[in-house]
Amino acid sequence: MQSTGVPAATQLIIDVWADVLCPWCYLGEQRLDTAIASSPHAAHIDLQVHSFQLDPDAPAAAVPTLEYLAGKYGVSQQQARDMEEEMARQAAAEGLPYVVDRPAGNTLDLLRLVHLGAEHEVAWKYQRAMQSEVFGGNADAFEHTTLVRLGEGLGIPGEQIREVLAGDRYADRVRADQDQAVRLGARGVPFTVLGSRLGIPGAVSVEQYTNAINQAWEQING
Amino acid sequence: MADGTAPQRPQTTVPLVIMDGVADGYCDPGTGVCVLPGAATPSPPNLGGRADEPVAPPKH
Repeated sequence: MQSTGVPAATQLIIDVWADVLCPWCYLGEQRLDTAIASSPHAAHIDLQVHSFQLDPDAPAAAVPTLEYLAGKYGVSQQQARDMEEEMARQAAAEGLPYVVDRPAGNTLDLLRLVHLGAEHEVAWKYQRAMQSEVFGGNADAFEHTTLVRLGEGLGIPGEQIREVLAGDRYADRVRADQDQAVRLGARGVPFTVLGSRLGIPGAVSVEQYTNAINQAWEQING
Repeated sequence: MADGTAPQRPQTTVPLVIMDGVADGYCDPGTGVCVLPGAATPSPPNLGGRADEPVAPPKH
């Protein structure tokens, strides 16, 4: 765990379980970022990222999202498009790009790299960068060259990224994270736990994240 | 704000209070199905129409 360097008693740890490909994680993380940035306690908040792979059976090779969703939900591609366009409207309200015709694929490698990012204290930024590529519609979002480029942009040596991609490093941590969320009672992803006291399944509004931060802060430091 | 992961966290010392039913939307951790909000979205089979409703697994 990284530390802000202030006494532990004055910190608030926020744990977030998420998947790169999860639309509500994408929106929820943006809202949580906004809530933290505007919090008077921002400098004393430790944000910890945990993996939750929503679909381990997703295809290894990226496919069009509408094709993937139609198969997963048993709906037509037009119905999948209607669903996605509603999500795009939600994302637009947050100022986030959301391209309906984008790739979908297995996120295990991406989540393993988020753990590598943690060793360089950029886990959250790395995950958010991956989501920007995926939901921004980059057809090569799952390509190793893209993942290396994003990581290097955050200061992670490209060789380390390629080594992780070539093996199965951190796969056990991805599974352990997921098991932990289930044990804690996660009934929705993203799953946010504030101060080990307050759990929020799913994405809530900026105001609700703000209230939860204040509530957890008061319980711990009040 | 620090930025990292800690696989063994959180070490809960008090009961964790889960705030259910407040989400605008979520993805179901069991099925991976993502729930869309409100009536504006046509709800395909098994997707659910409201964010706070339980979700049935999709039929393939």
